[in-house]
Amino acid sequence: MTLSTSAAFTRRTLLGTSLGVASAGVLAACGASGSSPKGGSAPRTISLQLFGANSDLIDWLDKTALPAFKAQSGASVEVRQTDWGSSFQKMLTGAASGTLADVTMMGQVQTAALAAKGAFLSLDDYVKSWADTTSFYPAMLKNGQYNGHQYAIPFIADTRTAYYRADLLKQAGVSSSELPKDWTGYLALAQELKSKTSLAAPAFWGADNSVGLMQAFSQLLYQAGGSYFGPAGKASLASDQGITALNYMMSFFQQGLANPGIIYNGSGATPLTTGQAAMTFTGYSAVQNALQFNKPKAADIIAGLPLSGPSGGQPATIAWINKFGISAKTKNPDLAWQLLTFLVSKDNIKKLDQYLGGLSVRADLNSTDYLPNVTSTMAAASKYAGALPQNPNMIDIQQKVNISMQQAIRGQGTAKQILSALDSTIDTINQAS
Amino acid sequence: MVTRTETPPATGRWIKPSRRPRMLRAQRRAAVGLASPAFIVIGIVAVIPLLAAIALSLTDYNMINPPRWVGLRNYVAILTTGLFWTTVQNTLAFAVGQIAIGLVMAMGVSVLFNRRIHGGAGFRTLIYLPQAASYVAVALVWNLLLDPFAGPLDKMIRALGGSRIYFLSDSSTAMLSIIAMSIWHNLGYFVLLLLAGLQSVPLELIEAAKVDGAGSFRRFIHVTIPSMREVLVFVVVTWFLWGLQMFTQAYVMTGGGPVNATRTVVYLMYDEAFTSLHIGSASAVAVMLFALVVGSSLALRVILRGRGD
Repeated sequence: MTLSTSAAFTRRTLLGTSLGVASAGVLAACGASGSSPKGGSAPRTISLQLFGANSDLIDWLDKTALPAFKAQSGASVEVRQTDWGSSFQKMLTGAASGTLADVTMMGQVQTAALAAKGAFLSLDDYVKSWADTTSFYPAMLKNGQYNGHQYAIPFIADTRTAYYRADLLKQAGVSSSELPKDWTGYLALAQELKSKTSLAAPAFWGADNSVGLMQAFSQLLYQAGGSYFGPAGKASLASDQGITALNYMMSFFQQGLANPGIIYNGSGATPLTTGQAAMTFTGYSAVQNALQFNKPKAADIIAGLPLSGPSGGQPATIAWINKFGISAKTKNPDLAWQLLTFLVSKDNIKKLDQYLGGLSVRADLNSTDYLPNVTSTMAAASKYAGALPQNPNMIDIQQKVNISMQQAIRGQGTAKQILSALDSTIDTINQAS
Repeated sequence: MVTRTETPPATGRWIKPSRRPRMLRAQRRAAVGLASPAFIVIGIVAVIPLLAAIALSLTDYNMINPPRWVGLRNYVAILTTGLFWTTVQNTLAFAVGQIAIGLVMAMGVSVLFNRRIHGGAGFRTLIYLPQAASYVAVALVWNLLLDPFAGPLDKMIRALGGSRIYFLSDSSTAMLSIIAMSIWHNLGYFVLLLLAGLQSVPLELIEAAKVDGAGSFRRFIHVTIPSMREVLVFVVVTWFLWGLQMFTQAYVMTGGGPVNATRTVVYLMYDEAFTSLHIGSASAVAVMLFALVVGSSLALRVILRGRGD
C-alpha cells in the first residue's frame, strides 16, 4: 500500500513538475520574444535582418554603429543574418509566422512580392515628415514603392554597366579611353579581342546558377528601348525591341565571341577576374571580386558608360537596388523607423556601400572616395539606370526569363520563338496571381 | 494444428486462468504506453504534415494570406505543364542512373573488401568518409573539381589529349556529373550494407557450389546474390527512394539548369513554394511525389522479392 501510494505520488509529482517546467519555459520564451517594452525601465530591443553581410560589416555594426544607435535611442539591436540565396524564404516564412525582423533588408524584386501580400508596413506617414527624403535620388526612392505607397528605403545600388579588363584590351591594342559607347562598338571590340588575343571567348554575359543572363538581357532590352510590359500590362518581350536585344546577345554566341559553357558558379573568381573574359555587363561587385581573388588585377577592372542601343540615343542600364523595410507586425514601428533612418543616414550608408559593394543611392554622396577602386564612370552609370518593373511576380518571372536566355544562348530556338513563349508564360503567371 | 493447454510453467508461479485477461490487459496497456511516444512523434512529424500537405494542395495559399479552396485545380495546372513532366523524367533518370551505376560499383567494392586485404579497415573508413560530409560541402568541392578551366579533372583530360568538357553547363553532361558526385557521396554507406550482406552468406553453400564445379562467377551469380537478396532489396529500394528526392546537389551545382536539364520534382516543389509563392501547387507536387515514392517502393519490393520466392 505504501509502495503503491509512493509510486502514484512519484508519477504525479513527475508529471506536475514536467508540466510546470514546460509552462515556465513557454512563458519565459513568450516573454523573451516580445520586442515591445512593457515597463518603463525594461530594456528596449529591436531586430534587424541582414542578408549577405560579411565579417567587416558585422564588426562595424557590433563595435561602432549599434552602440551609437543604443546611445541615441536606448535600444539594443538583435542582428540576424543569413545569405542572399535563402533571403526570400527567410522573409516569407518570417512574415507567415509573425517572426519577421522589425527592420529587414530586401532585394530589388522582393519589395513588391512581399508588400503585395501585406508583409511590410507602409512608410508613407514617416516619409512625409522625413527631412532626408530629398537627399535620395528620386528614382531610387521610388523603387521602394508599390501601388503608390512607400514600403522600403534604398541603401545601396548595384548599377550595371559594361566592365572591361584594361590589361587584356591593351593586348589587343585598345586604349582604356576608347571604350565602346554603343552595341556596334561593343561587338567590334569583342571581335578585335578574339582576333588579337588568346581569348577564345572574350565576352561574358553573366551566365550563372542564379539570374545573371536575365540581368544582362534586361539591360539590352532597355538599351533597345523595350520594356517588360506593354501599356495594357501584357508581357511585351517579343516586341521588335526585345527581339533585337536578344538577337544581339545571341550573335555573340553564334560568332564564338561568348561561350555558353562558361558559367560563374557564384563563389570564387568571376571570368573577368580570372581573365577568361575581357568584357562583361556587371556592377561594382566586379571590382570587389578582383580585390578578393586577384588583387594585382583589381586596378585593371575598368568600366565604361552603359551602352546605347541600335538606334543610338541615350545610354541605358539597370540598377539592382537593395532596401530596408519594416515588418507589418512590428510591435514598435517608431523605434524600427528610427533604426532604419539611422542605417541610411549619410555617414552610415557610406559604410554599408563600402562593405556590401555597391554605389550610393543618396544624391548628397557625390564623391565615391570612400569606395576602393571606383572610377567616376562607374558612379556616373547610375544616372542612366532604370529598374525592373515593380511586379509582385517578378521573382518568378526573372527565373523564367533566365531559363529562356539559357535556351537562347544555346541556339534552342529563334529569338522570336523564345520570347513569344516567354511572354505567354509571364502572362499566365500574372493572370494566376 | 496447435492446441492450447492450461499447463503450468516449468518454473515460476502458477497463474490462475481467471487472472490472465487482467494480466493481458495490463500488458496491452504497458505496450500502448511504451509505443505511444513513438506514435505521437510519427504523428507529429509525418502523418500530420502529410495530411496538411494534402489539404493545402487543394487550396490557393501563399503563406501570408489565408488559404482559398480551389479543389483539384493545382493538380490540373501542374499535370498540364511540360515542366512537371521534364522534372519527372529528370528525377527518374537520376534515380535509375545513380542506382544502375552505383550498385555495380558498390557491389564491386564490397566484394573487394570482403577479401582479406592489407589495410582493409582503413579503406573502409576512407570510402565511408564522404557520407559524413554534407551534400552542400561535397557539391561545392565537386564544383571546383569539375570546373572546365581550373578544375583538376579538366587538366587531366587535356593532358591525356582530350578536349574540354563543360561538365555542369552542358545539358548532356550536367545530370551525369551530379550522378557521379552523388554516387561518390553515398557509396560508402551502401558498400558497408552490401559487405554485411556478403559476410552473412553461408560458407557451406559456397563450398557446396564449388564441389559441384561452379566457377567463381557462377557462384557469385547463383549463390551469393540470391543469398543476400534481403540486403539487396533494402539497398535498391533505399537508394532509389533517395534518388527520387534529389534536390541539394542540383540546387548547389547547377541551379536546375542548363535549361532545366537537372531540375527535379523536389526542385519544382521548392520553386513553386519559394519562387512562385504557390504553396498549394507546391503541396500538390509534394503529394504526387509522395505517391511516386510509395508506388515505386511497393513496386520495387514486389519485383525484387517476388523474383526469388
